[in-house]
Amino acid sequence: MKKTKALPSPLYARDGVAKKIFTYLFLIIGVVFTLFPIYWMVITAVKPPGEVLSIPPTFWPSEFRFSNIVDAMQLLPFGRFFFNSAVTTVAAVIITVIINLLAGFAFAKYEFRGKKLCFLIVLSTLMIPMQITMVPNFRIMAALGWINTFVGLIVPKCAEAFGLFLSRQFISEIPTELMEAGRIDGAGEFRIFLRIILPNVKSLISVLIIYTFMWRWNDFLWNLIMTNDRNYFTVQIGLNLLRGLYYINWSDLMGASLVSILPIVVVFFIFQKHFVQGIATTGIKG
Amino acid sequence: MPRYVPYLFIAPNMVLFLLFMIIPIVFTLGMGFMEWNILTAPKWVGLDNYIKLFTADKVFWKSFWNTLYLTVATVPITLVLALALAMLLNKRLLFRGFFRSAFYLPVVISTVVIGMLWTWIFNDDYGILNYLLTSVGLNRVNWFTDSRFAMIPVIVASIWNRVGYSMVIYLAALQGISPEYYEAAMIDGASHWQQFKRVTFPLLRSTHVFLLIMAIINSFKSFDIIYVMTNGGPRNSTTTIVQYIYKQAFENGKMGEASALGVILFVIMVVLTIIQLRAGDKE
Repeated sequence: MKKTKALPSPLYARDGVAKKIFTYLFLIIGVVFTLFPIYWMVITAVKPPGEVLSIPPTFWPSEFRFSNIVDAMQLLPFGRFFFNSAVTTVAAVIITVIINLLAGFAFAKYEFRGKKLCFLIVLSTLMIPMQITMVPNFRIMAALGWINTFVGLIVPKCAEAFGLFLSRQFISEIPTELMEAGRIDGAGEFRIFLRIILPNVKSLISVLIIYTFMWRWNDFLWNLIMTNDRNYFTVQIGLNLLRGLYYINWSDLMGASLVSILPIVVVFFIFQKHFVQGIATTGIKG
Repeated sequence: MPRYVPYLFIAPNMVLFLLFMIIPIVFTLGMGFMEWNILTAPKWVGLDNYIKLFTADKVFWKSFWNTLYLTVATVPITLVLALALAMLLNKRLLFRGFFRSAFYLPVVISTVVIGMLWTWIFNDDYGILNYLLTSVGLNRVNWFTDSRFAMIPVIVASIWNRVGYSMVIYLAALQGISPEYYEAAMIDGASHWQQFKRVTFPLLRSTHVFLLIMAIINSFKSFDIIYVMTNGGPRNSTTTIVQYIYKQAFENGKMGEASALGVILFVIMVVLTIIQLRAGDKE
């Protein structure tokens, strides 16, 4: 047993050297397992053709053919796919974040008739797999003429319960006195929202933006059923199409995959802390 | 402040939820009683779809079983790994941020890419996994052509995708446990394992419940990875309920039957969630 020290830290801080080494060891093994597939994807993408299928497989490319990736992207109109993804993602992010902030604010700071019911409705949508609603939704989309349109890809996806909960939780921590002060000064509710609430939730806004970006960029099934016109395919659908071409060249597939995840990985690296902290707070509320 | 103001704030969200989630569920309920293949008009068939599903549809039972199998195989492992990693990370370590981000990275990668990645790794002929197996003297496995094994790549890919999310939540919860509990336990002479059993694990109760519910719901919802990796095959060995709904609706043109299946899925999920919430509230 270790000596008890008056340290404000978890007990493990009093680990001896052996325990510390084991900890690092397990973590390193874990990271290897976690990152190996990505490393494998990268080197598969840049290996010269032929080497990809060699047995035994090579763990380091004999040469780096970055041109592979460029070629892969040209097998299908990926430029157009990226454009579509960008448009649908950015539009969805803007709309979703705004309406989530608005609604989160109302749920956090106002009491009103039917509030519990509305909240329950929002909660229940978390449990509804898309597959349950996609058939009638498809029918609605067809009737509205929204198949193969940006509107159809964007609008139905803007209702995001997670973002709403996160906003509500965050905003509920802003002292109501601030709002009262605003009211005394004669500000209307919307003004209060703009001038008092918003400036105080900057990190909430970043979390909402990056998570909504991630979800929309990675959307698949909805886009799959909403588009059969290549001009409206997003990157994920394009990848799926690539996979289904008459021949599967793994190097091409991995190359295109690599490029498709670049935006989100870059965003992740820049905003790591926000990604992790944003999700952690949802969990705590339970 | 006028009374209608809060309603204005929540209106955009509520309108969207009602239009694209609540109303469609009601429609799905209705469509479950119809036969409809898009081209012709829907026809009322009453409980026929449900009867067909339960008595004449082998794929339905298979999909039910597969969904169960997938969930039981992924959820416990994911949560155990997540908790273990979270506990390892809940110490004063160098590069803690790096480790945490590394484990979280698979969460942000698209499920389509994850499916293709792991399909390549598990590839029967040229995949790295079979090579590693044979190089230590084991037999290679026909992961994607043998219906006994096809679910395994899906399970591995799913776990890889989701551990990070649960880990981060566990980590935050662990950091909220006051060190005084551990101090007291150590004074009582408790071993590390006992401390885990008596202090850590019980104090994480609401986190366990939350993550369990989320993990099970996510497992039931899981579509992209299976679609990309196996498309439900071979011979429906990886067809889950949601795969089957998609197939029936968009490949077989049986929207009525797909809707009936959707209703059944919804009921299952509601029941499961209620059970878990009740179980979590006990004590």
